[in-house]
Amino acid sequence: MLEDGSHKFPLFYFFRRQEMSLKENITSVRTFFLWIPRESIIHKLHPITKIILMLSLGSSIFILSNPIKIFFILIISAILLIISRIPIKMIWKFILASTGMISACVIAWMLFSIEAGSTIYFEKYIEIIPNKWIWHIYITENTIFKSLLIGIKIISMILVTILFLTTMRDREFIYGLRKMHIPFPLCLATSLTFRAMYIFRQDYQTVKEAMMSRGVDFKTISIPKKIIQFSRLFIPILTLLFKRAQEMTLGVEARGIPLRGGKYSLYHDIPIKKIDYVFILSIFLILLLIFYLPLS
Amino acid sequence: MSIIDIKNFYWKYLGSKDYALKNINLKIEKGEFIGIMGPTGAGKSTLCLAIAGLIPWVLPGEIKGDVIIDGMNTRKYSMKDITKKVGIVFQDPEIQFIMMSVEDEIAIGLERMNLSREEMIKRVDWALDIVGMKEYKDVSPEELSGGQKQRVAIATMLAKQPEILVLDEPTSDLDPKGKMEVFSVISNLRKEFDTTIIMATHESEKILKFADKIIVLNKGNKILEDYPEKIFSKIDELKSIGIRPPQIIEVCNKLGCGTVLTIEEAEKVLNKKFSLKNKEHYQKIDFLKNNRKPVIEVQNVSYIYPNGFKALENVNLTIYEKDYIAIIGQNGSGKTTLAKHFNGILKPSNGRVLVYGMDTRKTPISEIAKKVGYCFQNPDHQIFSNSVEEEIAFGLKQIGLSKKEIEKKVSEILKIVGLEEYRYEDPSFLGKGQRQRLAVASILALEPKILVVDEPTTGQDYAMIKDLMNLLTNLNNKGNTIIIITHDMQIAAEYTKRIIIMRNGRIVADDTPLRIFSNLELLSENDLEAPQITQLSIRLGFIALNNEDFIKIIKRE
Repeated sequence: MLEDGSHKFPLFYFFRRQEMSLKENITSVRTFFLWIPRESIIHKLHPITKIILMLSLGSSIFILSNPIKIFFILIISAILLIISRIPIKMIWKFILASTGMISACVIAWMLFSIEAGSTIYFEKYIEIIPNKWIWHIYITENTIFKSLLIGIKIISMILVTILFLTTMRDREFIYGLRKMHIPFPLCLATSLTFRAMYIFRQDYQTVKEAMMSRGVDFKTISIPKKIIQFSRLFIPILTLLFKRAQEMTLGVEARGIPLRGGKYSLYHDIPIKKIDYVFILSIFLILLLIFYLPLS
Repeated sequence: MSIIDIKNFYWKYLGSKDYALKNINLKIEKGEFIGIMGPTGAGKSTLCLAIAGLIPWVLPGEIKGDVIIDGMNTRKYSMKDITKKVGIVFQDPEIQFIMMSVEDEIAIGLERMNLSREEMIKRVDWALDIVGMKEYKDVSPEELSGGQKQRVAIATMLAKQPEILVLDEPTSDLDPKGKMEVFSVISNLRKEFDTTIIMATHESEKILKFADKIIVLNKGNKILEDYPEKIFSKIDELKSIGIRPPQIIEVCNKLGCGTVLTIEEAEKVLNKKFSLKNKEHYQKIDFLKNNRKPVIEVQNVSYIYPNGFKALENVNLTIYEKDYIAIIGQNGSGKTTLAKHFNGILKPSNGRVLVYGMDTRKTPISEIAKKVGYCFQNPDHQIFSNSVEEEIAFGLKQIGLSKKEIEKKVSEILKIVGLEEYRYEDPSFLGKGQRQRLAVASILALEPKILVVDEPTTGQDYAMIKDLMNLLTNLNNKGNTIIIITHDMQIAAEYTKRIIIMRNGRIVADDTPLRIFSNLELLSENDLEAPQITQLSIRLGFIALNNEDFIKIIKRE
């Protein structure tokens, strides 16, 4: 159990545990992402290549509706993860930590959707409010098929996210965006969001500790009391949030960084290498092949 | 022509009743180092913001008069033009960082100036070299200590090579070493580039050493403008508005030696005027030897943060009832981490902490909170209610007191901290000093036998510091155990009875202030320094921890 209270939020807790268990792998370069330094081809790719990789794989998962085709994407993501030498243990932990979310989505689809099908496996009417709201549970072969599709889509998305977060540093991401000529205010806003999240996390932690030192025991109080106490946290947090927002605006303005117009140069110059072209081309060809595979 | 020319300048923040700056007239020449002093709320930061052009361009309000920077009227020229001439560093460097690594942080400002890549690389390296942070190029700003962050913030401005550098209380959160680092960086800047420096600060001893001229503000008015030695010779006037004069000047003045600026000079003058042979040490009661009950026992405690950082390593410590302790040490030495173990906010990774015999790992924090109160550095982190009264009642409700008892207790506490007239006020409308007192009051209401106060003096003026420290001393006299975490050596020496020095998560010394502050070698090893008056007394052959003791010993026949 972690002292920062992150164990209350399973996914956040998981991320924190990861930080701890990966301690030996992390160099002194801390990043907002879950970057793991490894000597792999994926790590050495240009940030633009990594962004394109993530976007193309991620959007394919959204667009495709054939489970076999999505399974291919899942395989590609898994291969890329293996090439990037990310510990398998970590990938499993991610999937296990997301099991709740995957199961909830699959079950919700089964219970709340009505999919027409030739075989009805289960059907039941439950009167929640008499004559007003009747819950109709209707499970056919199509319901099961779509539930599984959702499940496999989520797992694939998790793998792509791990690939992205573990092989790329936040600063590389910002550089990639700028190199892609994304408008500067948008890049700055992304960077500021990372900074603000860090500051917010620190403030939240301190405010919670301040409350604990006044006798509030978040572990032992009842759920209604817990809700009241958490709502109290918002008074100082909102005050600090407004103050921080104002201070950060002052900070940016004081730096004299014009958001619009004018020419600018880039400090870093990471060359796009042959391997980047090979990766981008290969991934596009593979995706094209998957999209046009004659599968019904 | 002066590089900064402020003429009949007034500024009122939007929604504010009174002007924050009133009829300010000021001329600053190129290459000058100007110190801005004054109590909290005097208008120091507002003047910094006006020189940096953030007033009127970013902050809304009402303006009268002009601020002219190297011929540019800040009302007519844009922020883009002004920032080419002026760079500003704020008290909290954290808010100025916008990128994810130290070098990117510096480079982002240069990129928008459309410099060549070679020029940018040169300037980034140069700026980091000047502030001694070259090896931290690839590090995320989050990983740096307070002093390092401030040095990077200065480097971001240096790289742009501004003609004027404005610093708004840049050293208030720093340890003695960090403070010295910042001052020496600024001093080098002046020597090498003739940069004009304007610094708002409460550090009278440092500013005396470095500034050419000092401006004193009070309630938005410029009340004094002169050379540092002349300003600090007006001791009573400064003290009456909440400015702490350098100890040496105050003592020499009281002893009729005139205005003496340095320890060396004071040593000569005092040796000449008084017979200082065979002066005895002023001996305080040796609290460590008294037989008192232990209230907190820290046994073999180590603590590792979730990110893997080992903040405490095998710490052993016993705190006794009626102790009045100052925990000192560099930024990041583990002071706050250790103190957070005293009331169970943090539980040890190894070892155990016993509070009145209760193991903090096994006892609910609500139980420990009755015994140990913890006051955080920033009062804004610990105010959860919409009125002063409710704020004090908050903790009392948690421990289940009746409405009648709560009412009685709130009245008592408000009287102790002198906030009775604000009982029904919204805490957000109180000044910082008052919010700090409210934070202490809300903890005191729980009647803890032990009170931990984290950095009670940061960013506060002399009057506020004195108020708060007197309150803590009174509580200690009534039997409470007081533990403060501080970078202010003068406060630690003047008020406390036991000093704990921490370094790299370990306790390296635990003794009386007299023994700690007379051991200059120990202090230097830990990047700390004795108060000016103690340093002087050691040179004169005795040891004094505060002005009163010093004068008493000198005058003793």
